[in-house]
Amino acid sequence: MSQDTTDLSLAVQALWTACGETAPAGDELAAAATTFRKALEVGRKIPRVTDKTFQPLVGPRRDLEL
Amino acid sequence: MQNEEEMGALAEAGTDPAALSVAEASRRIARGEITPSALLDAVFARIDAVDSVIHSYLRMDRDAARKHAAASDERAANGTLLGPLDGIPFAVKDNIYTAGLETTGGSRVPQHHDPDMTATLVTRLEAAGAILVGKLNTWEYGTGTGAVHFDLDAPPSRNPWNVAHFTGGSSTGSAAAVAAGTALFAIGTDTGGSVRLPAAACGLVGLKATFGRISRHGVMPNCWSFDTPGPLALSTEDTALIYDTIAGFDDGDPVSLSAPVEPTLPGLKNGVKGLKVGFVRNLDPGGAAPEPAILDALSKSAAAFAELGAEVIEIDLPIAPSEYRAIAMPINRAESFSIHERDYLEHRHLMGRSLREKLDMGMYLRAADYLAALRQRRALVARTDEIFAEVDVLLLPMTYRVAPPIHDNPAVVSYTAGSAGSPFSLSGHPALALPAGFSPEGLPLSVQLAAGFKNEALLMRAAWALEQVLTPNPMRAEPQHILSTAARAGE
Repeated sequence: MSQDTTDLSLAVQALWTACGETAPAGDELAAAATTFRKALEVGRKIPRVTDKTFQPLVGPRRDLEL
Repeated sequence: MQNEEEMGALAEAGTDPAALSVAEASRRIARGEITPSALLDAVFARIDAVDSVIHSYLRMDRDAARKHAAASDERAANGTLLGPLDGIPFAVKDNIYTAGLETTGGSRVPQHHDPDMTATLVTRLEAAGAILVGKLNTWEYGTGTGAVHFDLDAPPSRNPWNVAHFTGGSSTGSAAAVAAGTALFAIGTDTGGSVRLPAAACGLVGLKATFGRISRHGVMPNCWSFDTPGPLALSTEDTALIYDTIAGFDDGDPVSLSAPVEPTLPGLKNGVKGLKVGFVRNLDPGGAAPEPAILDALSKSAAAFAELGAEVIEIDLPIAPSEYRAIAMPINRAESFSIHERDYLEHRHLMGRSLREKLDMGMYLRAADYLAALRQRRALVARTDEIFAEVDVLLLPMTYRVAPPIHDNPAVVSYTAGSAGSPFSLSGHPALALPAGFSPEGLPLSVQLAAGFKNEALLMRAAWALEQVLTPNPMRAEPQHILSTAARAGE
């Protein structure tokens, strides 16, 4: 098991425990660590917007009411 | 029995009532040529004949449906029909709540919603006299990774045109039911193409309306930024009848649009002369191309539009599909996880693998990444909308292939992931899948049309005009055909 996977496994365990749940173990923990890594990769691929006033598109679509 | 006599006479005339379009059944009811009860019996006969093979329903209430049909019979006899949907049997995906008829989302996980809740769209259909037959099969909670693992209590729905093949998802039962005539129309839900993809796979019209046009009140959420319920039907005329009934503001849905709805039926047959059609031959220039039969259908569609008087220009989308997917995926997974978090933490052992694996990632996505995706979404919406300043309607692929064999999971996942539903789910523009004939192996072909915000009337007008060229006589799969494909497949 690589250091990266070990670190992510520890993070997974901490996250589940913080949710008040029993953390996965064994193969399930290893799979969760892999999923965690993929989720972080997905997030890194999302471009960032430098304009701080550009807000996320959430809730009712007022743009569609015009 | 009178109904059996009516059905027998119609069968002799070569017309099984369950094979009729909504519009034609409605006309026959209005003329007194068939009663709603006889029509419902014909649908029950189809269910009895083929549903053990296509698995379109999870549950139904025949007694309640018969009671409503009897009331429609009376209105028909008295000349007091409520409208064109009065007496028409329909069904809804099992993530749409219906009082008196359990909603499970196709899951073993215990549900805790109000059992007396009925979705606004169902209420509107029933107020128009349509008859709810039952709840339709679905991917668990109307979502998943796209894979079919055969690990839910109900077997997955099968494609009525060849039961060895996939129906598309997630509105699996909705498409199977309408294609087979076990319902005359159905309502599904579309988050990333889940109405349009199964409609394409099963040779139907599937409409995803403008975001907020059709109420989600009483619909189990999957991803509230994209979720849009919508009809699956045999024809554009049927789709117009249904859309005009269910669209419109609903105080129960916080994102419901208050802008007035333009009915689609009055101008449906006004043609496309003078419209500007943008033809996107390939969503991913330089990438995989649609298979030849689908390319042919697209070219034929473009030529038909030109022949009918539209100006057709070839264009590329300004945004690669991979860009849409990269933004849509974390939004979809984060919101799904938020909605189903307690189920995931407490009952994931009861979930099927496809749902569980989808939710897995939601557990680990960062809030900052989710919100970054929602900021990008605003930019993508604006860039997508620019297209409709240039053209009135877009013509583009819905899928790159025909429906694959259901047991070929890599092909099933690829079919779903490679479909072109995501751009308009993310942007909120109206889009529909339109049948385009059959491939050499007998599986449905489809093209996709899209239009500007709140322009369903224009979208449907273009769809109707193209339908008259591509599939002027849309058909449901006959029971003999369904059963013969089952026999060949050893199902």
